[in-house]
Amino acid sequence: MELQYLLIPFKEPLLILLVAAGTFFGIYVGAIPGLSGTMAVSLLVSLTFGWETNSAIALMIGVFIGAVYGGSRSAILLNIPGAPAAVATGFDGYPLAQKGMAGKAMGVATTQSFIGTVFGIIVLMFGAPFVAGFAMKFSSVDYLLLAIMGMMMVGSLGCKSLSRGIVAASIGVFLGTVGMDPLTAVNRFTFGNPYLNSGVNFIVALIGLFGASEALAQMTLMDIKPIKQKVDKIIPSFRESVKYLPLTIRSAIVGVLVGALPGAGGDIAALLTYDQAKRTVKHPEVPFGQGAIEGIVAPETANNAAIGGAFIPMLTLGIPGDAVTAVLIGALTVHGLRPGPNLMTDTPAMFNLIVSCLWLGAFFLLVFGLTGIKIFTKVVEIPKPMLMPIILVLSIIGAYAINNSLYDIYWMLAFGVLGYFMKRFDYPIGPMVLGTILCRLLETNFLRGVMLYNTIPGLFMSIFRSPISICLFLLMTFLFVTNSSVYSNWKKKRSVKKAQSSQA
Amino acid sequence: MNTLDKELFIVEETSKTTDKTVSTASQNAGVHYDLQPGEKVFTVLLFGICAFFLYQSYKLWKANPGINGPAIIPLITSGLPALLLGASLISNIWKKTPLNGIPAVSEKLNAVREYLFSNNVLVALLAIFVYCVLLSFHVPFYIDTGLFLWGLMMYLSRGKAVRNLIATLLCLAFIAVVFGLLFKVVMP
Repeated sequence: MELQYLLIPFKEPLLILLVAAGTFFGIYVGAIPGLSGTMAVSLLVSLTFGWETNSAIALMIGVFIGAVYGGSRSAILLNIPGAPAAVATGFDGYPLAQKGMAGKAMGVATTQSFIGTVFGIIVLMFGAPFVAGFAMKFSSVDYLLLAIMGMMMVGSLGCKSLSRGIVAASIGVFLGTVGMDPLTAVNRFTFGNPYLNSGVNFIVALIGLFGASEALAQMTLMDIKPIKQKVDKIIPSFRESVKYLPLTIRSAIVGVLVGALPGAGGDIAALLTYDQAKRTVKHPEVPFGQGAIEGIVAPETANNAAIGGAFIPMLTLGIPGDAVTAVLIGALTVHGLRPGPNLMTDTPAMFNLIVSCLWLGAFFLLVFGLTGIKIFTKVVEIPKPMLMPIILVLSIIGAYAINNSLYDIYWMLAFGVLGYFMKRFDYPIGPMVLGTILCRLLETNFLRGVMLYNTIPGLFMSIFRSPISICLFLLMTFLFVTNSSVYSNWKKKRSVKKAQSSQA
Repeated sequence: MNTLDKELFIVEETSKTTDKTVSTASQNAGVHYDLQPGEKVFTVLLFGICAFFLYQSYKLWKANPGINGPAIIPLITSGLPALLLGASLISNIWKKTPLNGIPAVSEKLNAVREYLFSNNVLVALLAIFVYCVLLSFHVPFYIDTGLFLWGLMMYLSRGKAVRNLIATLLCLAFIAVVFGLLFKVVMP
C-alpha cells in the first residue's frame, strides 16, 4: 500500500471540508424517515457531475457513512428507522427512549457506529489488496457468476420471494441493454427514438427508482404526532464499552463479512447480528426488545462495519457490496474510472483516497454524533407534507442536471412511478438498479465466455474446470436453494415435526 | 461523562394512515390476504410487457442470429421474467385478495384506486405533470418550482398557507445558493 496517497485529503483541506459536510448532511438524511443514503448519493452523482473526481467522491463517502449511522437516530427517537440498516436498532432503542434513556441509546449507537466503521476500514485497507490480487485470477465465467449472485442476493434478502427478485433483476438487465450494442453497433429497442441510442441513463433510473418513488410511497403515510422526552448521558463510560467489547468484535466481524458479500449490505448485517446477540448474550440487564443495550451494540456496530466490507467487492471486483456502492460504481464510471482489480494498480491514489475519506468520515461521525442534538431534533421534526414536495423537486433538478434535458425528467418520473408500483406490490427495487448497472459487465463476460467455449452448454461446463468457478457456483446454488420457497416450506415442516416430537 | 438535559421530541406512531385501504381494514379485522388489491392485474401487466419485449428480442434475434449476437441477453432477460410471471399468474389465481368478497366491479376498481392512487399520490402526480408542462413552456424555473412546492405543500398539509410559503421561499433560496452557486447546476 502506497501510504503517501492516504494523506491526499490532508493536502487538500477542501476534501476534509467536503467529507465533514457530507457526514453532517448524511446523518440528517439518514435520520429523516423517507430519505435514504442511497437516494442522497444517487442525487449527488448527477449534481457533482461537473466536479473534480476527488471532491465528488469525498462528499459521497461522507454522506454514505453519515446516512448509515443517522438511521439509528430516528429509530431510537421515533421508532421509525430512518434507513433500512437501522431497523434492528429500533427494537431496543425505542423502548430505551420510552424509559427516558434516549441519550444513552444514542450515545451507545454513536460510539458503536464509530468502532464498526473503523473496523470495516481496517479490514478494507488490508483485505482489499489481497482480494484484488486474487481477482486477477478470475475468468469471465467467474465475473458472470459473481454478477448473477450479487443480483440474486439483493433480490432474495428482504423481499417477498426469490422469484420477484429475479424478475426485478432481469428487467434491470434488460433496461441496461437498451441502446446501441457496444460490440455490433446494432440498435436495440430504441423504436426509432434517438434519445434511446445511448441507452437508458442509469442515473435517471436511480433517481426515479430511489428518490421519486420513495416520495410517492411516503405520501401514503402522512400523519405523525410528536411527544416530548428528556435526554441525558450521551457518551457511554469506558467501563461500559469494555463490557460490550466481545459482542462488539463479533458483530464487527459479521458486519464486514456480510457487507463484503455482493448485494448484502448493512441492513442484513444489522438484523443478523441482532439475532446473533439475542442467542449469545445469556443474561442481558434488560430482556431483548425491552431496552437491552446489547440490542443497540450489535446492529449499530455491524451496519457501520458493513460499509468497509461493501467497498471490498466494489473496489476489487467491480461488483457492488450494496445499493450505495452500486451508485458509487456509477459515480466512478461517470468520472472515467473503472472499479475492478485494475483500479488498485492503475489508480492506487483513488483507492487510498477512498480509504482516507472513510477514516475522516468515521472521525466526523463521532464528532457530529455526540454533538448538535438540539438542531438534530428540529430537522427530524420537518413534517412530511413539506419534505416530500422538496424531494420531488430535488429529484427533478438531479435528473435535469445530467444532460440539461427535459426528456430525462420524464424518464425519471416514469421510473419513479414504476418504483412506486413495485414498492406497493412488494417487488424489490435494488436488483433492478443493480441489473441496470451490472448489465454491461454481465453481457461482456457472457459473450466473452460464449466466444471462448462456443456454446452455452460449453460455457456452463467450463465452470467445473476451475476451483474458483466451482466455489462460486456452489455458493450461488446454496444461496438459491436456501432462499427458495421449497426450502423454506421444508424448514417450516421440519420445525413443526420437531415441536410435535418434543411435546410427545 | 457528558450529561445533557435536553428535551427531545419523540414521535408517537399513530395508527392512522391517509389512505384507508381495503387491505388495511381487512388486516385490522384479522383476515390474512396473500396479495394486495390490484396485484393480480399488476402481474398481468408486467407479464404483458415482458412478453412484448420477448417478442421484440425474438425479432432482433431473427435479424441478428447467433449465441454471441446482440439479442441473446435481451432474450434471456425478457424470457426469464415472462416465464416467472406466467407461473406467478397461474399460482395467483387461487390466492386471496381483499377484493375477493366484493361482488361489484366498480367497488373493486375503487378499492384498487384507493390502494394505489390515494388522493395524495394522485394530486402529487398531477402536480408533477403540470410542473413539467409549465417547464416545457419555458415558464421560469423558480416561479414554476415555487408554485409547485407551495401548492403541493398546501394540499398535503391541508392549509397553513403562511408556514408553507415561508418553507417554499427557504427551499427556493436553498436551491439557488446550494445548487445554483455551489454545485453550478443548470436549472430547467
